[in-house]
Amino acid sequence: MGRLASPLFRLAGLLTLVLAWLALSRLVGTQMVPGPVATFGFIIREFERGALQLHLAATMYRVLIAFAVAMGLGVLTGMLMGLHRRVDELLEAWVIAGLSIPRLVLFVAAYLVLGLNDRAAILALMISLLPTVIVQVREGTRAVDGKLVEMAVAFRRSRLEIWHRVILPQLMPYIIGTARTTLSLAWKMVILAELTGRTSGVGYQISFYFQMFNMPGILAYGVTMMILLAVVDLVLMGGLQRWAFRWRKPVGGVA
Amino acid sequence: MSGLRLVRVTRDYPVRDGVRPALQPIDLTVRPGEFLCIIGPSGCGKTTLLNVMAGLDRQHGGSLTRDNPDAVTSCMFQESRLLPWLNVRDNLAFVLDGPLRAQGDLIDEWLQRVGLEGHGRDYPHQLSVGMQQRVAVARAMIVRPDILLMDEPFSALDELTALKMRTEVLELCDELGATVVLVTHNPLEAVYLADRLVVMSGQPGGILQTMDLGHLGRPRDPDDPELWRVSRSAVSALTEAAARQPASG
Repeated sequence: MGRLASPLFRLAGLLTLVLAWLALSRLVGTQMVPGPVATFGFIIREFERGALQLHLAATMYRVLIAFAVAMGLGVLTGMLMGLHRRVDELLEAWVIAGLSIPRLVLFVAAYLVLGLNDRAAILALMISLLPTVIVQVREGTRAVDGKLVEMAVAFRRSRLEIWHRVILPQLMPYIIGTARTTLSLAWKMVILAELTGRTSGVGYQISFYFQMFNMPGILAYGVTMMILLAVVDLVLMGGLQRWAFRWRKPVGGVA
Repeated sequence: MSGLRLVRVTRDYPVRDGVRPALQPIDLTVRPGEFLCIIGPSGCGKTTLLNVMAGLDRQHGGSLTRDNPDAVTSCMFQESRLLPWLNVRDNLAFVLDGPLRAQGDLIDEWLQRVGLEGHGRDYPHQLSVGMQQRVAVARAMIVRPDILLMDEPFSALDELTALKMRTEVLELCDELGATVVLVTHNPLEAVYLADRLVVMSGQPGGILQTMDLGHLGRPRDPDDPELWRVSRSAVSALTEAAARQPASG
C-alpha cells in the first residue's frame, strides 16, 4: 500500500467532490445546478467556438501582470520594512489602509478615475494584492536567523553574497508561500474586476451568462477557473516549492 | 600567523536609563601561534570579548590590533551554523574566495581530514550533531586561518565526541600554526588545550587571573592529575571572585 496510499487518498477526495456535485444537482434539479457532464459539455462547446481561450487569455494576462508587479514591489518593500524600523513605521499606515480597504471600492474607484480599461483593472488588482505580499515578506525578513548572518560576516563574506546565499534562502519559504496565496487571491479578485467593468475575461463571461440565467455557462467558466488555478498551484507553484526546499528534512524523516 | 593586541577594550550596552557596561577596560595580548583559552561564568562577557576580536562587534571602546593586518580570521561557534540549504561541499566552498572555491581537491582533502569523505553531497539535516560540528571544523580550517576564534565549540557534543574533537582541533591548529582564542565554560577543557588561560569574572567582565600552562607540556593526557589540579585552582579563583561580588540575576 505504502507508496500508493497518498495518490489513492487524493483520488478518493476528488471522487467525493464529484459525487457531492452530482448529488446536489439531482437534489435541486439540473436547471439550477447542472451536473458534471452538462458542465464539461458546455466547456467543450465554448472551447470549440474559441470563446473559452479568448476570455481565459484576457483574464490570465491581467492576473499575471498584477501578480508580477505586486510580487516585485511587495518583496522589495517587505524586506525594507523588515530590515529598517523607520521604513516600517513610515509605511505601516499605508499597509493597514491597503489591507482594510474593501476591494470593490478599489475597483470602482480605479474605473472612475482611469476609465473602464485594462489599466484600471490591473492597477486596482495590483493594489489589492500588494499589502498581503508586503506583510508576509516583512515577517519573513524579521525572522531571518541572525546567527547565520553573523557566521557569514565572521568569514568576511561580501554584503552581496550574504544577501544571495544567506538571507534570500531564508526568505524563500515566505516568498513562495506568499506567491501561492497571492496568485490564488488574484484569480478571485480579477473576476470581481471583470464583472464590474470589463468586456472580456472569465468574470465578464460569468456576468454575461448570469444575465441570460444560463447556469451551465456560469458553472463552465467557474469550473474552468478552478481547474486552472488548481493546476497552476499544484503543478507550477508546488513544483517550485519542492525544488526550492529540496534541502529540507522531510516531515517525520530521520537524520 | 598573527598575534592580537587588545588595549583598554570596553563594551557598553544601551539600556533604558543609560548604559550597562559589559566589559571593564581589558588589556590582553595574544601571542602569534598561541592557544589561549578564556573561562568564566555565564554573563561575564567572554563571548562579547570574542565577538570584538572577530570584528562582529565594532561598537567597543579601546583598540584592537593584529600584528599582521592581512591575517585571515576564522570562527567556530557553539552550534555548527551550517547553511541548511547548502550541502556539505557547498558549505565549505562558501567561505572560500574566488579561484579557491572551484578547487574540489581542497574540499575533498578537508572532508577526508575530518573523516567525512563520502558525505560531501549530504545536507546538514542528514548529519548528526557531531558530524555537523566536524564540517564546522573543516570550514574553519579550510581558509588556513592565521587567527582562529572559537566560542564553546564542543559544548553541544557528547563527552566522547568532544574528547576526540579537542585532540583533532589541537593537531590541526598546531599544523596550521594558527593563533587560537577559545572561550569555554569547562575549566578542564581549557587546561587540556591552552598554552595560557585567562580567567574572567564579574559583571562587567574583567580579567581576574592569567595562568601560564606551558609547564604542562604537550601532548597532554586528559586524565593527568596535574591538569585536574590546575583546573581546580582556576575554579577556586572563580568561586572566590563570585563570593566577593553581589549576587546578580
